Amino acid sequence: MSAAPVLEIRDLKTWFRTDRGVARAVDGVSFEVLPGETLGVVGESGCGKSVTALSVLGLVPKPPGIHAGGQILFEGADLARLGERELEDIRGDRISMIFQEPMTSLNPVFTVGDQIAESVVRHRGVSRGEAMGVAVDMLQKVGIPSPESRVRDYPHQMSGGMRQRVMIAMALACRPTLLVADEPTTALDVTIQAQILELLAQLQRDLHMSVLLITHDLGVVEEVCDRVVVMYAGKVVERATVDDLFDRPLHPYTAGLFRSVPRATGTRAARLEVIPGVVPSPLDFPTGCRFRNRCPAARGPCAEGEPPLVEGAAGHQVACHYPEGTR
Amino acid sequence: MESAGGAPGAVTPPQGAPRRGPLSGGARAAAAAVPGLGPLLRGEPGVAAVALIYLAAALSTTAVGGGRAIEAVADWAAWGAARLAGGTAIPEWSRVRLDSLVATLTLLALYAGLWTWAVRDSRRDPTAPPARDTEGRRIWRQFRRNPGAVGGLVLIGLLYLVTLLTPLLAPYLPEVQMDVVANKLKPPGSEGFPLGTDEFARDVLSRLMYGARISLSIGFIAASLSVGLGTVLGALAAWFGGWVDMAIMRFADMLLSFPRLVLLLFLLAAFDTRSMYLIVTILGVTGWMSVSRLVRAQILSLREQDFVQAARALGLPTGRILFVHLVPNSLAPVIVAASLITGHTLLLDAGLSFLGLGVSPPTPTWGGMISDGKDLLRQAWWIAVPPGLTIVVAALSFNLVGDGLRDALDPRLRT
Repeated sequence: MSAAPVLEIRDLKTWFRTDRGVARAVDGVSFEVLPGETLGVVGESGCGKSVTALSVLGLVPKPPGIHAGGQILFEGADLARLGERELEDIRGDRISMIFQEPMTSLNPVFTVGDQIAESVVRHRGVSRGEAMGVAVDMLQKVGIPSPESRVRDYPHQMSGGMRQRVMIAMALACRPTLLVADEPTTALDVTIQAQILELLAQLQRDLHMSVLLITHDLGVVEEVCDRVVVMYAGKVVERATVDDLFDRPLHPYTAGLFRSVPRATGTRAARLEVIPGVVPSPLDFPTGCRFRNRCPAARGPCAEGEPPLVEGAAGHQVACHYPEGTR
Repeated sequence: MESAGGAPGAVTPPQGAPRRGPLSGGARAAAAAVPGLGPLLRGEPGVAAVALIYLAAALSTTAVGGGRAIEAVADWAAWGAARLAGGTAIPEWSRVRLDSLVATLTLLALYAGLWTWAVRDSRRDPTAPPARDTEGRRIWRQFRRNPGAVGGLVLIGLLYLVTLLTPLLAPYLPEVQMDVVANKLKPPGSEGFPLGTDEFARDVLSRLMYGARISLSIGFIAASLSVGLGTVLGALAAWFGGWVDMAIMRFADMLLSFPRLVLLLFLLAAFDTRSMYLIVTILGVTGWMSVSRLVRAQILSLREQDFVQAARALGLPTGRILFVHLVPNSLAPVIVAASLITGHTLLLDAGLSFLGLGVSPPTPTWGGMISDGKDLLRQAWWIAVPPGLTIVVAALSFNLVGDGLRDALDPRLRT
């Protein structure tokens, strides 16, 4: 923890006003991304990890979204306080994002070259011709064969894996310092997944950038992340290095997640464990610890105070009154 | 598309079967020399017919108006020479002179286009696979399968060609009155008046041709205005939503709740003289509502697509996302609507002229000519019938093209 973090999120609260009340999708999340590292954010669907990612880029639609508090510090500025124009200058240039669905994340009426070049023209102010040169370079970098002719292809002429490569080329064309990847491999089949992850890791080294990886796939986390943040119901419940987390999960939720991953080893007869119940609605979280209704270790005090995020072991924080191994 | 023709060792096609394959030697030269001959030799009568129609149009214009074309060029050459010599004798500029020059240049461009096409077409190998299959080519291929739509497109092309060539073709200027006593109400086929004359002894053919300029321009420009306005307003309504959407769409609903003709009469009644520009503007601003609804519906669904989020993540500004990324994605139904609206606007303009609220006389319009002829329909049918027929042909052509486009742009109907 020597270098200053690239991105530091402090007590971020992104809420949504709905007809039935305020949905506290992200409710006091803090973490930081260090230079050159990959930080994984994991959690079930609806735990607020995607909203956190969108908040970083200021892409949460407002209304109904509201910034209810907290700071997003990036290169000395609080992104949460910047105006739309200033955010546009940062997006695609200093911070980029790639999305889950490569099939629909490209505009069908423009060639992939045009789409890569567009952000280069926007942020670098170069001519279209130069930008197309950058586009060819980027396609080469993301491993698309014969990039000179492929820049003139339309998205529908490419496969899902290639489109995700194009998306990556678009996001990285201006060499951002931070890449936010929102489930970048979820929509791809497993072999392509591995290729894309390998590509991301290689580009990360080449361009010295940090990656904020949003995923629900623990296999992916183990593969590529340096540190992990586990989110549950809009809160960070555990924060650790990958090795620590996988060796010794402290939060009962994290432990439950690991037990519910199917494994190829072991006997068939062993039933896969599940965490009982469902994620509570963000409109109506339980009092105290938000996980207590589903927690095997819950007892009286859990209903009263929300557990703060505290150091459970060296460099390993957990938000639980009764972390694993202390009972 | 057959693949056997031209391949080495392929069986010679039986006598009379259409030859498919690249043309050879003499045939290629002949095809390059006569536009339309190449497709005929390859057994593509449809393409041949289109080429020959335009060739006939070019040749007959030359036959009728070649003299005037030479005059026009000589006129402007003399004017240019005088300017170069520094002389003060600058010939009087006139609308007629400029018109003739434009028509002459159009004729030359038509010839140039025909032969460029013929030469390129004669070298074409129909058995070769297409180089790159773009969306545009797919749409064109589907459109071509619809004979009605192609016919409509050819007719529209001819009509607009006539409007450009009118100064070479029309026997008289439209407002010219002959000696009324001798020449009024001459029937078609009379000496010097192919379609006869009206009660003011004006040549019906000339008025029909010059009227085409006004009527077709009004149809086209007013429809473009409607489509442009509708696209922008619909896109803004869909993107910004809220009170912007409310204001624009309720205003559209309000305009739609008037019968269009009543709205037009109400607006036009305020003006004493009605120029073409006035009519175009008023038709344009009363016709955008259906387009704006179309575009709004399209953009409402498109704005939720992932690529919009991706474009925002690249830091592109709202205006660019809306008008560069979303609007082109929503254009397919708009193009269809545009051709239908053009036909509709043409009819509406004819209706207005018929009611006496179109472009003020003596400027000829098709609707105005019908209006002039309606009282004399029993004695002189030739005043009202020709413009009536051209209105039908023009409106029908636009509708056919619109229908063809609708089918060609619908991927579900594609084969």
